[in-house]
Amino acid sequence: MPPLIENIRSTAFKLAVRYALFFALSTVAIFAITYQAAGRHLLDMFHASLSADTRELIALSTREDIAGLAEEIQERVSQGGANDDYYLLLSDDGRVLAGNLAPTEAFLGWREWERPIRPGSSEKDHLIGLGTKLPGATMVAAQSVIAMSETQQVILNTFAWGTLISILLGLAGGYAQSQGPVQRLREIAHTTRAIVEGRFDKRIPTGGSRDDLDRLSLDINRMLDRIQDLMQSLKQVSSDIAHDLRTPISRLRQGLDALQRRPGTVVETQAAIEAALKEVDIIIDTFDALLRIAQIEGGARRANFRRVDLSAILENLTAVYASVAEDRGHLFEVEIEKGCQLRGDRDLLTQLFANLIENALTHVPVPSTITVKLRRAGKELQCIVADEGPGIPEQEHDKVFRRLYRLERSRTTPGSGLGLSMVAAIADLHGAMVRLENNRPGLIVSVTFDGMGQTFDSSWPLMTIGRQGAQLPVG
Amino acid sequence: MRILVVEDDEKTLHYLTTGLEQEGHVTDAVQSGTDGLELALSRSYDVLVVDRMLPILDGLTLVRTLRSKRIWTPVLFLTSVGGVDDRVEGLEAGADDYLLKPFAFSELLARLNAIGRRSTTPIEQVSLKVGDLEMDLLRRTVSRAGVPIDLQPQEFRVLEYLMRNPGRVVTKTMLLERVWEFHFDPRTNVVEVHISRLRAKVDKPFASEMINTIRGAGYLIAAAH
Repeated sequence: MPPLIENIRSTAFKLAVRYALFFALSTVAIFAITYQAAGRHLLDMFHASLSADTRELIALSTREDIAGLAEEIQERVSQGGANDDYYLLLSDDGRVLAGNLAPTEAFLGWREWERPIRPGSSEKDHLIGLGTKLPGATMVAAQSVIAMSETQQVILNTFAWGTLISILLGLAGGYAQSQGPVQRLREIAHTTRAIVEGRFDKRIPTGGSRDDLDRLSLDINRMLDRIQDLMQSLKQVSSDIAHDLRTPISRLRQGLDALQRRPGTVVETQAAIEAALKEVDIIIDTFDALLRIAQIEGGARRANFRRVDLSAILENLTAVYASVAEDRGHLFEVEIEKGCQLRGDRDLLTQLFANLIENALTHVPVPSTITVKLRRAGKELQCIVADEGPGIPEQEHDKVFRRLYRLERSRTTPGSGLGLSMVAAIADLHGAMVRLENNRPGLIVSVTFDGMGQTFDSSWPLMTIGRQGAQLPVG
Repeated sequence: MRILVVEDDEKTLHYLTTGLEQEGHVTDAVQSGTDGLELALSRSYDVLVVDRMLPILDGLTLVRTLRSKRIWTPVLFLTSVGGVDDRVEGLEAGADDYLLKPFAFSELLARLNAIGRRSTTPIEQVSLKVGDLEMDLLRRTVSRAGVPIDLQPQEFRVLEYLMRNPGRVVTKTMLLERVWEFHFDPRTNVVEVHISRLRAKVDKPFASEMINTIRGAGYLIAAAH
């Protein structure tokens, strides 16, 4: 698009045109009001002056007589000459006693009329006059209002030119003004096009002006950062899946391949099949975990939330896992406050705390004390699962809270690697906060449910709690 | 048992019917929900195996229709749609159990045995007896050959479930789901731990073993011989 047309089509220019038109309209309105007001004011002035003149002449006629009045009028007429004052003093029997108006132009009260400037002339004069009945005569005093029309004409002209100039200035200014924004928008368009083409690191250049376009650009850049982060983690997840599944699948293939090449005894074959089934189970488990996490993150399960007794869930869990802990040589400490209820999904909450307890059981060297506590704190329900194991270095606490983040060392630990991802997803679904703390030594995982389950029903905003979602390196 | 299998995937259907027939069951096999409904309404079966995703008439509707016509034949749902929601939905529609594909055949067999027999088991029982092992459900006591056995509550619950299914395989998953309501796969050997504790109390002090491990399948309690 040629730059001129691009500018004319630009939003800034269209805005300028709109404003110029708006301004012109308001100018016209101001003109109309001024024109009206000026006209009325001038008319009032004529009325006032004619009334005063008439009063003065009436006073004179009562002080002297009609002849004296005629003399005065005649004097004014002859003195005025080119003046715009007109008079007529007409006796009751129809004789013109004085004045420069025709006897036919006699009347009583206010009147406006037109008459030729000179007898026989086609040019008309516009008069306004006041007729008064005197004893024995009728007096008319009038003035030409042609001057008033001329004044109004001047006002009209001034406004017409003014409006025209302001529209032209508005258009020119709008065009000039649109240059800047058009350039900025062009940059934004360039950037978005580059991103569509796959250059995700492109960002919109921003000045320090902090104007609306600058703020928009900053917001778009932030959005692009976020999208890039998400794509990064998506890539990470895909490669995690590929890695996690590739290993058992290739082991499965190797096993079956070996079995096909040299079939062994029945016992050997049975063992090989058992190993193959185990690998398949690992693959299925990983798939299931991924599917469940995706389902939970989708949030649809909130529709099934019911009032559940968290105390009962934890009592059941700790009763079941106490034997496991004891068998492995751990000390298992449980402090559960009775009757802690919330709205939630019983099965998922069971899984959340089972995952935390199992993490402690699996990744902590014997002997250690594993503590599970649940208590009410004001409106909150606080639950902690603590161990005395190697923990997670404090500087990595933030990182593991980033969704889908995995530490490199977690690659070598057993398990699907999704246990704590699940914990985070379930906590998010329930509007709970998951926090990691240093137990010196060991790890404390605390899960805090807000407001006794009153405040988080189906309308819980996922984004605000998404930040707390975390995947820990264990699991 | 006489089993009706409704499954649209031909390979899975073949896998199911041959497997079930090898185990001595009699099977009817159909590939559509409408055929399945017709057979289930006209013939008598001990148990139905129904795939949830069927063309035209899906599994959920099939079971709902059956139940609305007061046919209470136990139904086991097979599904490739995972997730607890679907399980709950299936059970609420009137199914008796739910199995996620892919599954181990032993798991299917164990579950079919459990639900196929359920309809004939009296619901209100006050005591269970397997061989010389006795359980009083009201007083929560257990004894073997007249010798009282002191069990922890969790051990009692596991033993109760085993004794409610005497001579039948109970899988790990069944124990997890039915005894503890764990609808996930634990990473620790939580089931093994409880079974071994039970054995230490129920089997070890006595001459013979009653709790058997069925490799690759689960556990089975039976009178010692």
